[in-house]
Amino acid sequence: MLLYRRWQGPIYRFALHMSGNGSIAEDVTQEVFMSLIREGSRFDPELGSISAYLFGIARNQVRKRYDRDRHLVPLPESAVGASEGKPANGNGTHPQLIVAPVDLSRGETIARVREAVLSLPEHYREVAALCDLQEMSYEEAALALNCAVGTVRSRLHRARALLAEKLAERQTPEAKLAAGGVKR
Amino acid sequence: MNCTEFQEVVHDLAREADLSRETRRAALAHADSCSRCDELFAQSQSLTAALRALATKDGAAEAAPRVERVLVDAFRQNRNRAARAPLPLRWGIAGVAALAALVLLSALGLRHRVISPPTHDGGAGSSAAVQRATSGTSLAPAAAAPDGADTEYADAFVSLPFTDEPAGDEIIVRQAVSRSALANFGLPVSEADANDTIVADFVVDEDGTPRAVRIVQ
Repeated sequence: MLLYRRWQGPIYRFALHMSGNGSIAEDVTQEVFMSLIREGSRFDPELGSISAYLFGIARNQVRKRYDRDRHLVPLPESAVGASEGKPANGNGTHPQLIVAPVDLSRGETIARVREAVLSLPEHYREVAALCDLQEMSYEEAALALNCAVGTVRSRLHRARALLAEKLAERQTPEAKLAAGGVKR
Repeated sequence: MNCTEFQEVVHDLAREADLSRETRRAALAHADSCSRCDELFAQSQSLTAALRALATKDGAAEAAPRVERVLVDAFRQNRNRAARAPLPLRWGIAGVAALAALVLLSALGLRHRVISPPTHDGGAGSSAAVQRATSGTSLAPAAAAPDGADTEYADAFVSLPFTDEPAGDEIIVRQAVSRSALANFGLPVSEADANDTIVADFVVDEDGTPRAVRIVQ
């Protein structure tokens, strides 16, 4: 139970940021620790930390839920097929620059950030949730996601570029004016 | 550092992630010299701040106490199940071990003539007979039969599994038992002859714990 009390919060929040639904987050949290009770002997400390192990289970559980309840988190068409591993517009040119600093004084900003995170494709959302919202290192996230550190890094960069675009799109005209910029 | 290289590190720079001091210095120098990269950096910093605000707002979110109760129940059930589960397994292993021992001993021809134990004169109708065994000899066959005595054959004693080393005096108890009763000692019994009655000698410890068994023929 010490393990549960130490990790249930982060696991719950990861599932919440992935699903946007508190009920699903609770189910995932419960299932993660049920798995630990049933199959805890499969955890090998030489292969990674307990946090990476738990987040790995959580990620798989979220994916299962996502497959089952796909309609809960629709994929935006524009994001499908986005390339990985490169800046938004590389080859020495500047990306389509969006100058729309997020105004943190506005109460709805956090809700917009949450919506933007939820609208990311799943493989970008999970790295954003782990690295930016859970403040995991690339190495820890790579263990939890069972992929290379370089993949985590490139996905995170792409995720953040998409988030910036989405947040700019969702700003009200007044906010855009107040922020002093639109797409240049 | 050029604009392309800056774009590759701008998010790490804004997130204050691990970057070498040299890369950080070069990136900041480039942002100072390129207004568009500087704006990109500012945008990434804003995004970092927004994400941290979301993380802070959700920082106290956690699963309901109900989840912990469910898990505690599941943990207890799992522990109880684990405590019970090995018993059939242990008996199964015991049965296989006893069968293997019997087969091995039979194959080696370790059959011995044994003396008929004295009949039990205490209880009428009882099928049990008692013979005193000396400590340390419980697994050895009984002494040779005197001339003229009825003879019978028995296998060597087979230690029963999951018993400690014998201590103190032991006795040999001859008992007519059904084959199905042998299953209680981990010996294999087929359903076909489960109700047959056979004679077996048991080495019984002072506290009544059976230590070894042999089948008398």
